[in-house]
Amino acid sequence: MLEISGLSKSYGPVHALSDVTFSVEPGKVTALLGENGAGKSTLVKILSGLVTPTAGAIRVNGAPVDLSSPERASRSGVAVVQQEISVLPNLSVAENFMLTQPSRWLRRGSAPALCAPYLNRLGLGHVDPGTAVGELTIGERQLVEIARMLSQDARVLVLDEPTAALADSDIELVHKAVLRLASEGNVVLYITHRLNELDEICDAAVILRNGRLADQFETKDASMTRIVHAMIGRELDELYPNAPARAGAALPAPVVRLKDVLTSGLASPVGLDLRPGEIVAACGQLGSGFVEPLRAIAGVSPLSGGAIEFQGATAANAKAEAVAYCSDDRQLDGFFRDLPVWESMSAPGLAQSGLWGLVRPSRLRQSVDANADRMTILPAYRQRPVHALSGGNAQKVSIGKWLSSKPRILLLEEPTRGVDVGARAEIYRLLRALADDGLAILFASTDLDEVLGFGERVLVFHDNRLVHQAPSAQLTRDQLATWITHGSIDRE
Amino acid sequence: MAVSTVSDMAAKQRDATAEHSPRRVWLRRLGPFLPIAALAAIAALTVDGFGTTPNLIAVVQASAITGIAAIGTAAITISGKFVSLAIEQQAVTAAYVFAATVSAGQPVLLALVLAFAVAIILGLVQGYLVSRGLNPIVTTLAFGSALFGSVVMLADNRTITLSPNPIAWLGGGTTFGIPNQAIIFVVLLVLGSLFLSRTKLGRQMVLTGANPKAADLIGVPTRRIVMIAFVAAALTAALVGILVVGQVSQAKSDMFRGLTIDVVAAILVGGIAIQGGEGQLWRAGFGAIVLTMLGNIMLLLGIDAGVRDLLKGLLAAGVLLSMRLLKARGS
Repeated sequence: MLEISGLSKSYGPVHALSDVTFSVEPGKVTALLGENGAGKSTLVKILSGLVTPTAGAIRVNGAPVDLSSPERASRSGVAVVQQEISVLPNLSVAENFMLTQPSRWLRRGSAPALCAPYLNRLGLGHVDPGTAVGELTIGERQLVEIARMLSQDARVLVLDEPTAALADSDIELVHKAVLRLASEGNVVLYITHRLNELDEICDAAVILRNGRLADQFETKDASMTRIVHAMIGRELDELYPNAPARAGAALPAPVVRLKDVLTSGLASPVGLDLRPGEIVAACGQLGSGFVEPLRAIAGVSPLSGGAIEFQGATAANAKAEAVAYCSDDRQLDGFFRDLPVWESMSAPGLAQSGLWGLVRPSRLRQSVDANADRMTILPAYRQRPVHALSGGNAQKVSIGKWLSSKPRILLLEEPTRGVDVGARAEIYRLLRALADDGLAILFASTDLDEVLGFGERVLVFHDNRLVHQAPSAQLTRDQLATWITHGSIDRE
Repeated sequence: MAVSTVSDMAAKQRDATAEHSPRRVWLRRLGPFLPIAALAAIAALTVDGFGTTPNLIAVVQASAITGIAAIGTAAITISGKFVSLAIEQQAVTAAYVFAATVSAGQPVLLALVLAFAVAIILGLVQGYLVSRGLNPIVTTLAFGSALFGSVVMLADNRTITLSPNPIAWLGGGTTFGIPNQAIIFVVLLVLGSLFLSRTKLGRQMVLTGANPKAADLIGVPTRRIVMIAFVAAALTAALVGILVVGQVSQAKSDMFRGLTIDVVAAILVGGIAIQGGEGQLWRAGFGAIVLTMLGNIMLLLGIDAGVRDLLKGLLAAGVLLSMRLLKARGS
């Protein structure tokens, strides 16, 4: 039993956590929910020994635990799988396991045998322990990290959004592992943004809002309305905005046309038209090639066959002028995190204007105001470095920066990864408004609800092929899941 | 709008935890100034001869050589490629090219053009290699060594003496009592600062250093910018080479021993973030002045050369440490 009583943490005048008291029972999966800024991260940091609380106590099975450093925390049986994957990509799977072993000596010979059972338990039996972690997919890396945690005898397991970066099939593997961990009598605290995971694996939920405990209940007693209400303090009308009715109207000419495009990530040619005002979703399992159309249009994946035609493209720089691309890792290449927000927001326009000539810094700063207003980035944030913003606001900067170069095609990978539910609704609404103004949007996502709810047209990829295209209204979630996992709809 | 306000409130709470009070920003901007200003004030009051105008001009004059080279090298640092370790070799090369051309009876203008043209080529080659992904430290180290070897070989390790020296006025002359080197230094410092904040190239150089991947994706020609930064560094190193030929009327292989380390120290002491993406070129020149001033004070106090070097090293380490701490507290 994990007991948290009167836990508080203040940063100067800001109370990240105030007087939070709850307990988590063993043998159950308990969800920890809350918007960005609700105090989840602070709680996780306290549990992992990175942050010292201002007040309060934490007990495991009745005894106080020493959480004064990460090492002591894991020694007292509290294991935290961080949101950022912390396995080392240059080392092999076995070597990553060795790093956390209590033994003083690294026994290279016995390491593969040591980690194999844990890998098997997580469905990673096909992974050779000698493989460098960097060669695995993000999903597999996450599983390796959880497997590594399994190998340390932890009684309290804290999983910080373990499925945020995973595709559906991998999510199922993680879920099974989490349920097994709970059934073995461990305390499992499961942090997530995916509300549907509550029904799927969680028995109880603890909800934080503005640093306080907002609600706590067994999931079987809870409705989605109660959960959302506890999280954001009001009802959420609708997550996905409606597409405007276009019945009878002639289709506008495509802004970009993919003709039999092939890249190293595609096994058969892909043909595709993107039209202004349209929001198209590409989905599939990780590694199924569903991001390839985006990367091909953006020029990130070089073409090995076919052609991409931009509307009215005669100039050689048509691509650069028309295309905006956000990768699935905004921290890596979405913005300039140590520079003020306005620098990122003005950068694409600046790059487009060429290398030669003068700029006035004050004018550059003002030039972002209209776009930042449009993305509802508050004026107070525009002078701050991006790293000081929440996930939702950072994503608004990552997308909104492109408005400065007036693109006609917006390509987004995982547009709402790591963004809480309130900010997600806002981002969908902003993107819908951009599409209604004539932008063509193509996004790639492993979140099927997002694909069906936000996409107007869905492209399904399986095994590096485009296997199905349909309006989202004509697909059910089950059909889509079948397409993604089997590449066809006929079940044998 | 209802949707936005709630999530913004949550975000605001989180954002507020990262402190950015005006006082802290002010402290970070002026941080490096305060100990230096205090040091100068104390020195002026206690050390005989420090506060005199001729001595202060001498300090700026003495820091000019390091400072000018540091301004160009800072472009490399700001664009995210750390530093060049081939500065003294490039300066020696320019000195030899210039002195050899002049002593062969060619016009001074041609000698200048040749020295700078060679510098541009050297900069382009290093910049090309580094922009293609080679490690800048290793590349410039190897390049500098090869360059130095070739120059010494070609010059037969001779000392070329210019008499008469046609650019003595440039190296050692004064204008209205102020050394020309100091004037060039200050002018370059001003131009460099304006370049970074007010030209498209300069701003994109900062973006390249701040996040090369993001810069690349939004269409900043990062490779070209890195090459330009290396050319800028090569040009200032060449300018230093020529100025010193003007000052001492000769070119010889060991005339710039230790310059590279001084330049790197100046960049660090000035507070330019070594990981790139922080755009204030004046800091490089400021760092050069600080180091020279410190040396000057210690000289006036009669401190030994060994102790002077030790204290300089400690100063560089101290500045790095304090920047690190201020940064850690700020975020």
